[in-house]
Amino acid sequence: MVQKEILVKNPTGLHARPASLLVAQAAKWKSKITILFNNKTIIAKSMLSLLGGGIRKGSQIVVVADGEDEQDALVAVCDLIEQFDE
Amino acid sequence: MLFQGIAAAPGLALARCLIVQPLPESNMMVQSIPRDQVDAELDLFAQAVKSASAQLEKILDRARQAGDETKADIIGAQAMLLTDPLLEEGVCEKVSTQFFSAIRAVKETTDEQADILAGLDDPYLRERAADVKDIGNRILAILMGVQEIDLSFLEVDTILVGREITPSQMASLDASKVKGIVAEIGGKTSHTAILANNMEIAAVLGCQGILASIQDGIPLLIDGTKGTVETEISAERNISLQQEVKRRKVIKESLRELIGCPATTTDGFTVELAANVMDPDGAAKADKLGADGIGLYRTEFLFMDRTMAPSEQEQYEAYMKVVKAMKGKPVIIRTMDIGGDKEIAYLNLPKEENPFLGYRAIRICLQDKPLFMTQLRAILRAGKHGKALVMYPMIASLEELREANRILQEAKASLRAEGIPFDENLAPGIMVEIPSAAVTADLLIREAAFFSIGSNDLTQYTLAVDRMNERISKLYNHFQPGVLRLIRSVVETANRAGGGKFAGMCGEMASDPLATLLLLGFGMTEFSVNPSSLLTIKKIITSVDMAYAQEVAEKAMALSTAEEISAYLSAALPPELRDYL
Repeated sequence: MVQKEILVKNPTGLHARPASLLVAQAAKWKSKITILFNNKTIIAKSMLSLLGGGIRKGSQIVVVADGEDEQDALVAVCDLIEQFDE
Repeated sequence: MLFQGIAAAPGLALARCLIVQPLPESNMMVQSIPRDQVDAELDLFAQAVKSASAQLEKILDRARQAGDETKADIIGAQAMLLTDPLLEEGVCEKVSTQFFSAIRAVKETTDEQADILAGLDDPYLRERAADVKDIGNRILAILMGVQEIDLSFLEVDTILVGREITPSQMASLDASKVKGIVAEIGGKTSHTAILANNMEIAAVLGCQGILASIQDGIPLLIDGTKGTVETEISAERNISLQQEVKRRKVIKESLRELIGCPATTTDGFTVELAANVMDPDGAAKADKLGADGIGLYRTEFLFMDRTMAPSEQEQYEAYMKVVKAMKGKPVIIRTMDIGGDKEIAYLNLPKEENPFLGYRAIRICLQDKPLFMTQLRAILRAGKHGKALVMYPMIASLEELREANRILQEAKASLRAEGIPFDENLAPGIMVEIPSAAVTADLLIREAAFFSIGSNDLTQYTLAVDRMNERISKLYNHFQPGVLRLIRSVVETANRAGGGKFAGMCGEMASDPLATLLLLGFGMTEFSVNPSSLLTIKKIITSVDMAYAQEVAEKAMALSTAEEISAYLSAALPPELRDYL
């Protein structure tokens, strides 16, 4: 299991289009990908879970990947979140 | 055959009908399964999701081909929700451990998930809650073996017919193909009617017995101005009707020339011709139509279909958008008019014997002070971005107006203390819709900046006719002399008060072309109308002179019955204007 702490900087947070893009990216990997935020565990492959998570601009989150391709999955997901600008 | 219903949104439409069947109640279906059927039930669910995915793919393809990005995005997001792991887990858990049928499991899981989203204080997420319910219904329809028609993509011009056409169906339908709406229930002031007016789709509601007499796909003629639906249209008539529909389209186009002109009579008397809206989109549309302002911004829609009241910030943002869209033209923001026919779960309002005479609108606000304060603060803040006025609904007495104004002062004081910018001069006015308010208008105008006559409720309360009761809908008529005398006296009282005080009207009567001359003749200076009627009303105002309007008002008021009055008003309209009705 690998994890990384990142700050959400885009105005929308993990909502709307960024949320769809994140779900699509997470779905590409075999690993289980979760986000820890506000004492909640959010499933990155679930739109419902992400939308209900309430991650906004300025939220400090921890991305966790667990599985055979965890290293690559973690990098890909974190890169995506960091490059969101809408 | 000719059916008479309620004229809910104007327009003439001739097209084939499409019968919209409601989804059966899911609690009428199998609820539990034997233990050994779990795998079979899960299979059914998986198959249904697959079929639903295929349906959405098809719609998505068509949306992309049509270049409709907005629709493609919405459908794409729905497709993603359809295969969401939380949805699948929820359903599987309910089927395999609680032995729910797939139907019950899907219904409960999607309801739960939608409730979670609706409970978050965010308008975007509330729309997603509606998406979750939509995909739930899509899966349910497949599981129940009901063929659900996709209203958002229709191949040909269509008139939708159903027991009920719901506001959510209205919101999803393809407005370029749906030419008309016919439903057995609903009335002039239902949400469906309001949406149809906004979308400029002809609608006849409360049209009883229509479903039993038509088959899917037959051509129908509906006249949303008269409230009629006609079946069995001969080939020759079909041709002449098509010409009539075209002619009306030409007339409608010709009205567009009036967009930039003021609503001034031929002898130079100008009225403020404003629009009724319920959201920022409506305001943008009203501005494009050349409305002189917003005479009624219905804020209650912001409070509906959710699990908690909107925050001050959310309200402020919505009001600000409307105020900004009007670019300095006045926007009358009505505080929430909840209760009566509009229910709100989180306010825990008990069922009442007589909801229209019960706990509603300002009566709720004066008891639930935090709710009212929040809204007033949001309105005061929005006023900073243009010109806003606040309006209290359902005022029956001076005490209520004073109490509302006192809380308005408190809201101002709290904003001042917190250093938050707001409009210090925001003027408060009232809806005049209760007969006691109309009769005591002289007392109320001293402490209100303006009146807006709510003709729907004023008619209902004056005549003691429940406007939702289909059996007595014929008794409901704003041309009853009793109603007209009240309206005239309210207008005259406001005009006598001076000091820039005025009386306008935001009820359906203001949008009724037959009433325009009469109201003008009474001296009414503000008309707030449905956007779809704005140019028609402007055409009438700009075609007549004030002396004639006054003469018509005098003569009409000398008559004794509603029937005589409407017949006279119809005859009094200059012949060249009849085409515009």
